[in-house]
Amino acid sequence: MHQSVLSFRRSRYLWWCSTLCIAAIVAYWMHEPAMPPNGSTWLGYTLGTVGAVLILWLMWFGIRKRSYRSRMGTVHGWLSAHIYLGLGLITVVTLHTGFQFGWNLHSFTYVLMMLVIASGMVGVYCYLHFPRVMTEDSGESTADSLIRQIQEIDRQALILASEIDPETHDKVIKSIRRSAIGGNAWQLLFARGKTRRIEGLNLAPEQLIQDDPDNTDLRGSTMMFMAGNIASGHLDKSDATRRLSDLLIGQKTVLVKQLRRNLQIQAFMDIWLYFHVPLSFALLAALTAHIISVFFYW
Amino acid sequence: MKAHIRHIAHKRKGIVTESEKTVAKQSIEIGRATDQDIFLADSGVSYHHARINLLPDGTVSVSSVSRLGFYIEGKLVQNCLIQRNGEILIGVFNIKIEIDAKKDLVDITVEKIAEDIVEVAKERMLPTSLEQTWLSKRSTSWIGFILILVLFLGFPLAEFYDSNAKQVIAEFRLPGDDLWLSGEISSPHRHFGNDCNQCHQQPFVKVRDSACIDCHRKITVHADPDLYDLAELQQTRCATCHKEHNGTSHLIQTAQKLCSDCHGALLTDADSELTRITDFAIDHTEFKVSLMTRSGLSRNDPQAWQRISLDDPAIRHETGLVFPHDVHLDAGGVEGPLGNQVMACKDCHRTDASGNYMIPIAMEPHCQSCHRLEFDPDDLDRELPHSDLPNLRKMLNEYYSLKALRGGITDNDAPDLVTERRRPGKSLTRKEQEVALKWALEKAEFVAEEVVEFRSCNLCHKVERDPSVAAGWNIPEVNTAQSRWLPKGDFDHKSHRNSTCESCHEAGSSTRSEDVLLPKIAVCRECHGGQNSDRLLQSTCIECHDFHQQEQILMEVSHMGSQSNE
Repeated sequence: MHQSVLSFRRSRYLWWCSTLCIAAIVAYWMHEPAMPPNGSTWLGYTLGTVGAVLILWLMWFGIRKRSYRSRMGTVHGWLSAHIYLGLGLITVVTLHTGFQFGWNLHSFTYVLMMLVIASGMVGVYCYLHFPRVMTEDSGESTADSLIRQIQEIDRQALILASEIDPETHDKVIKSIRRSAIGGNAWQLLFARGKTRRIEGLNLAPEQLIQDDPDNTDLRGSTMMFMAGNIASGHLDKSDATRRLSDLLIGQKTVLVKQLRRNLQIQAFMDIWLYFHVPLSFALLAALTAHIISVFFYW
Repeated sequence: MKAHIRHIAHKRKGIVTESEKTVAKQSIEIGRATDQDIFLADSGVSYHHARINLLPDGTVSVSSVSRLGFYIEGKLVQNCLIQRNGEILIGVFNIKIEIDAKKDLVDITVEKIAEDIVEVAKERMLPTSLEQTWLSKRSTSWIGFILILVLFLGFPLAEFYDSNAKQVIAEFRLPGDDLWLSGEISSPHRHFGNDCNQCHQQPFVKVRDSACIDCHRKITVHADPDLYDLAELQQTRCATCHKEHNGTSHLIQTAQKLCSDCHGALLTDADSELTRITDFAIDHTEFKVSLMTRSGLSRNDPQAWQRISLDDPAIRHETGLVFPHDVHLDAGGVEGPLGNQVMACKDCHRTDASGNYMIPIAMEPHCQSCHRLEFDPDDLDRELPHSDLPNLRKMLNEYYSLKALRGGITDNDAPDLVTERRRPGKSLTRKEQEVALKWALEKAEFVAEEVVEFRSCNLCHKVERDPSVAAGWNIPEVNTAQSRWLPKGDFDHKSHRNSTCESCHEAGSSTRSEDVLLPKIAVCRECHGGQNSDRLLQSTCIECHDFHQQEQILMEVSHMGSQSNE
């Protein structure tokens, strides 16, 4: 049975994290430095070292997850540890600061770390939440299988269209070109852009014309053309036209919509990593500068 | 125009077939219709799709006949011009056009690159995942990584190592090592606080004591380095205790741990009088009072002084005086020249200008207003000088000689010559003068004895007749010139001015001048608790004691804090 990354091995790493945090808090509470708590007491150095080692280890996860041949634990286990020990950093490093903050490199490093952790927490949410949403939405269909289904419809539509007349054929080719899937990051995340044309097509074609005969957005679209043809009924090959209309309006629209949502969810699942990874490297740079600077001006 | 058209087809199992033909026409037609010059059997192509023309200037134009257009260099267009050669895409066919201007010939190569348009459409599909978009984890990571290193490491390091860079950074107010500031600088150091290198002089070396002593030239050591050759003292740097970058209030450590780390671990060894002390409330020895116990030595001679615990039952302050506090502080008052007078402590004990310490008690300012040194009932304004026993007889002799020579003295025992009033201008004979001076000498001797042994001096001093000394009496040295009794501590009266004297000093019941009336530690502990006291004034060592002992030698790098990079 699939085990959630959070409850891996009976939440082994949750216990690790809790132990680490409690140990840090108890040490901080018992520690009575002669000066205000800060990073340069013995406890401050200890917590700082633990924090830095943890950060390096957490970043190593990026390498570990790519080394498929590694026998050093499972990636699943590593991820579980990555999440919990990453959360543990909040306690360890906050205590390392001794709650001294200012407009300097050191606090900047802290803020970067908190942003990395926050983006990671968003990642955990996405990791746990969106696969469920996607399953509820698309069942077993993956984006690839949906694309294949759409391409199959396109293929059939082209064959049908070439049976009707050259004009219909041209329209269908244009339609295939136009109903582009995907787009830039913005369009993927918000299912924006060319998607709108398709969204309006849940309505029956006849109704579209009635509702808004001058809709410039729809004017010239394949669907309008098809709708017009069907409504006027002047085409001889009305059976082929109806089948084409059913393919493009009925089946394809549904699939395209499903695919767009699938891609959108996939984008949601991916987008946090575009913050998490660059922020992590920014943190690595800031951490390096932080460590060098405090010993440079010891 | 003349065109050489070549069809390349990829069959199964990697077999490639070619067919060629040459056409000479006005324009070359492309489409799905069988009558086309270039016949493209693909459902994604119109019957009459496009047309190729060779223009008079030697270029080729391709124009779409249907509204579908074609692709060139990835763009969907209706028309295009080809200068020398180019490739267009119609449906699943790639059409390569090469112009051979010399022969007035256009070479056209048609190659089917996919099975149908859907596959081509798939290739042209827009990004379906963020990975395929302009978003990039790698490049943003690199940019962020390098930017941060340059800004937060490069700039400050450049400022440190390169004077030109330092100048530029200062001139344009660019970020430099101020980005490294780890916390608020204490206010006394803030005036040079923007120059990190005032203290941080060498990279990767802890701030050296020499940086501190450069300014704090008069700072003294904690203990004599020859007597206390301890690693804790020799190797402790200034910055071990004085931690900068923690604001102003923490520059001077007040935590008693700073002292108890060493003084709590001291074992009484035979050579040392130091005792174990960890906390004022629960672990502090009874106060030791510094008393001058050896007479005949200078006050500045340390040998004259002895520190005696208030717990010691034998503790006595040898003042050399007969002075009972209880008599003076009698609630019923004490007889003085102005009658009965109720006295208070402040009548004699006054603080100095600082308000911290008491002015030492002396005869003239503190006692003489009551204890007048008058000696002649006929002249009560006339007083003897204090502290001048050797000249006492001489002074009295001079006084009475003058009186005797003038005559008119009221003394029943005196000869008539001395008592009778003389008329102005009448002088004594030599014989008479001798008689008068003889009387004066006897009178002076008598008064001296009376004043010293019975009337004035003996009231406060323990007078002993001693013919062997010139003065004729021995009066023990008086020792009241002390203003600091606990010089190792830093008690001051000013901060205690709201308390009454009696709350600490039990003077009212003291019957002997030898009584040491300083309060014991128990009295202090009524108000002062230890560092962690929750109901008394929290008092740490620094409250009363200084780390840098004023009487010690000046601190030098060799004495406190090694230069080594510990």
